[in-house]
Amino acid sequence: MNIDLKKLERKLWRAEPEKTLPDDKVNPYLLNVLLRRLQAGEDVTYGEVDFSQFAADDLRVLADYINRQNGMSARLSRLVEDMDRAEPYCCTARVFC
Amino acid sequence: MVEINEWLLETLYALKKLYDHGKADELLAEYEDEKLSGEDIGDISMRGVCEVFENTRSYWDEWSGEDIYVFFDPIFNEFYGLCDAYEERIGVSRDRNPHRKEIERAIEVGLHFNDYSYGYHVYDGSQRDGSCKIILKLYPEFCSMYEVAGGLLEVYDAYASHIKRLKKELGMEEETKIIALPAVQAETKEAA
Repeated sequence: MNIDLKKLERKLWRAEPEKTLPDDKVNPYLLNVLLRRLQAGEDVTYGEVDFSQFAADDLRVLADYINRQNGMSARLSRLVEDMDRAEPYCCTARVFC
Repeated sequence: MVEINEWLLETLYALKKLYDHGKADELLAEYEDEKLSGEDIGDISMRGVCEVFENTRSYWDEWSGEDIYVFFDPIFNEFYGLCDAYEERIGVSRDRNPHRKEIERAIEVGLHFNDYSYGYHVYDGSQRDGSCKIILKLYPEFCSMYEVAGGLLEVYDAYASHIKRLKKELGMEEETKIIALPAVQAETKEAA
């Protein structure tokens, strides 16, 4: 696999910050309170869950969001592996006599 | 780290359905200090199923591996009793009673799970033993336990809604009490 680092660097500089995974349809309580705590490794008890803050169907939306997040994470991992496997490539240059 | 798997979310789904109908108090009190995990889904789902109707009997058929739930509730008796009164008053047969048809449809929708390994039967009191009940059979391959309590709650709501409608149609609604408030007297001002 050939990676042009200069080109990659230029593209990254020009890229605007954006959310790669839209979360506007995910219930804010489930996303910002529950999911954040669970993904941070915190233990959350059943007694701490505020069931009045979300609808049952919001959980399906959250499940879909987590699946997409996991998919992105897997693709990123594969990209990192590909970058790791790429071997340095010597650029050809004109020989000056 | 807590693994956020589908079982954890399904557990919350089952509890939420019960919570919305005010039937999660006992379960939540028992699990209050337990950490959220997908490992409780079996127990919570099965316990939740037993919270919906007034009386639930559950069996496990050792030979077939089926889980069998038998639900009894006064709401069934009331509905089918009102249906009988409706049929007598209006002069329609059981097969043509729209309320019976609609409740059958509501049960079909409510007990439609994301699985094929189950069956149910509704007893409307016309059978030999005269009892009104719903029998739900979950075959060994059934994997949507978390949906069952929510589906049963939809069935409960359908019966409750049709009872109201039947009572209205039969003129059996409770009269709304009107409380007469005392008339407000206009203030009178003394002349200076």
